Amino acid sequence: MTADGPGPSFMPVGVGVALIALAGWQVISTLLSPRAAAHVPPRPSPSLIEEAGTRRSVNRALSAWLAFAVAVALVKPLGLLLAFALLTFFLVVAMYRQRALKGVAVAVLSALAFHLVFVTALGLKLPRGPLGF
Amino acid sequence: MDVIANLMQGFAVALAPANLLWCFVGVFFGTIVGILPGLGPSATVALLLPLTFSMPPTSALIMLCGIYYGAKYGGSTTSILLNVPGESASVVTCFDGYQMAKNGRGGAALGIAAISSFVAGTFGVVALMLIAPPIASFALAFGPPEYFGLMMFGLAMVALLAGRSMVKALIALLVGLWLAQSGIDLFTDTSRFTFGRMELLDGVDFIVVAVGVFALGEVLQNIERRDAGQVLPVPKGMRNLMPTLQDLKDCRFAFLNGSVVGFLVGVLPGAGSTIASFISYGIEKAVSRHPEKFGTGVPEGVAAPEGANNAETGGALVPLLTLGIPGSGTTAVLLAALILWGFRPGPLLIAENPALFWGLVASMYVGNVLLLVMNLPLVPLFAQILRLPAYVLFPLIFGIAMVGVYSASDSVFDMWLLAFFGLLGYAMAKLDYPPAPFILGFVLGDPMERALRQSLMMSGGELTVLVSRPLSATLLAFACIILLIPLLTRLNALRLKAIEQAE
Repeated sequence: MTADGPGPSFMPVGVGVALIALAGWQVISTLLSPRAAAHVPPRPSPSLIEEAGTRRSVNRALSAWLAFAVAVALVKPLGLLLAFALLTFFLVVAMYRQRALKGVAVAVLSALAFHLVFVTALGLKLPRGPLGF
Repeated sequence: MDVIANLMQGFAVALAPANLLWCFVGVFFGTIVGILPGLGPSATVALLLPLTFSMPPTSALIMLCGIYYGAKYGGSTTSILLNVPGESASVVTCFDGYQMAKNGRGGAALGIAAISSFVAGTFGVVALMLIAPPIASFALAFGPPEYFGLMMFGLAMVALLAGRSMVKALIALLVGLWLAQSGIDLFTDTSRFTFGRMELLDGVDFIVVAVGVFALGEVLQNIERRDAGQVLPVPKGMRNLMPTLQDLKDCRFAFLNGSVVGFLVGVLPGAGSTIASFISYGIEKAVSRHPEKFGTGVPEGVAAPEGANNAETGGALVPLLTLGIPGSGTTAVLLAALILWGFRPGPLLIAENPALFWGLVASMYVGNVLLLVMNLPLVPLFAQILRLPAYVLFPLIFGIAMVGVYSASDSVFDMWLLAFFGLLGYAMAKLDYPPAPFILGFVLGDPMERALRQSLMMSGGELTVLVSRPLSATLLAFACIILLIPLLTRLNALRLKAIEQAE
């Protein structure tokens, strides 16, 4: 304790201790819950199907996230609008199984709308690519 | 009459052509967002926040609040027509609203929802206007210990009501608090949790966190299902939107009930419009002369919850504008917006910025009228927005998130952080960790630490300062009781089990 009151680590330590305690509580109560103790999945056949369904849906979400991350990586080399158009094309064609032509149309129109709204109307400076936009 | 004079000044602000336009833009977007299931007001306000930096703050606040209450009008539309709540606050509206639509009275249900929203929304603004200035002047006497107690109480309420598991809500809250501490410590210039990155010296940008967790997290959850690309059928024959005189008579008490319950629940941190709508529906059913008819399409069953979730807006703005303490995800974003625009939220906000407060209040009167006028004849048109396919909407949200975050900081590093927080938001949703306590913890982390450390500086390091002042002691005691509730009910459940076995 100094004239400045408690130092910079006062609150982080408090928060950290509480966090560890709660996390420990959560782990223990999960391990002690009846389902974990029984060591068997509760319903065999229908839940397997459900599980496959949820796994597939989680995979879909994660692929979409990965596409987003790739688009972020492409912002510097390609410019934001091109990266966004590619991301849109991927989502429309690969994730929503639309025809490629539709994907191109949605991607181009969306990027065009972005250019009009954000660059032309609002005057934002977005990262540009080698093509000048 | 101070209030009248101030309000007149407020109308001068709100009716300026530019502000009127922004108010319209806000409620228009709000209605659309409310109708679209999969995109909530907190995500939208967070997404649009970076784009408001070049606007005058009053106009920006008018627009963002317009989205907030406009979404509640819009949310009822899909509940009634399709049994798909556009927002969680409209879940209850499905019970009787959809039944009315099935009985061929969808138009009347939409009309009642709009009228009830208007009545209660306006009530909420009147109450906000009358109650906020006195609370602010009362709060002037608060010192750091009182603020600390108040924030503890608010956060405890949020954790209590955020989800089934209070432990998970508290973990989310603490992670938010921890995240707020990254960057340079204001008291001592020490850098904390920067991991050697220059970019983190200022801490993590609020916009990155809010857009990532709310907007990206929500989109990722929606992308799980490909069928979101399907177009929902919009029923036809919605021409007659006017409820009958008998409907309105039946709803007399529901208007009042929704208004009062919605506002009071709104003032409480953590409860929010979903809970307000449930409580108001419950009260309406309890006092009804024909409770058995609820769920079969009675107009009061639409009027009460729709009123409550709109009156809640006025209530929720009270702690935000008088104490600088938000009670929900959307108001947390609004608090961050006020700070980013350079205001100091707290009891002096209204006194220092009368044009902002009274302009906002007046704009909410205007906005409610705009919504009523817009919603009554245009609901069928708005419902067409549901035809917008998911594969167009979701990439657009991704794009707006990227542009927004980049324009706020000019940094590609922040876009990486955005991707990280998007994944975090999705993971939290999948694992049942509620996002609201996380965001509130993040927003309140800084003021809370300041209040705590100032309190301890005042007392020379004695923690007793927090409990030796009556108000802070009371608030902290409430916070403790709230945090103990799950333990008590658990005890209660054990007791009930024992009784069962004994019989």
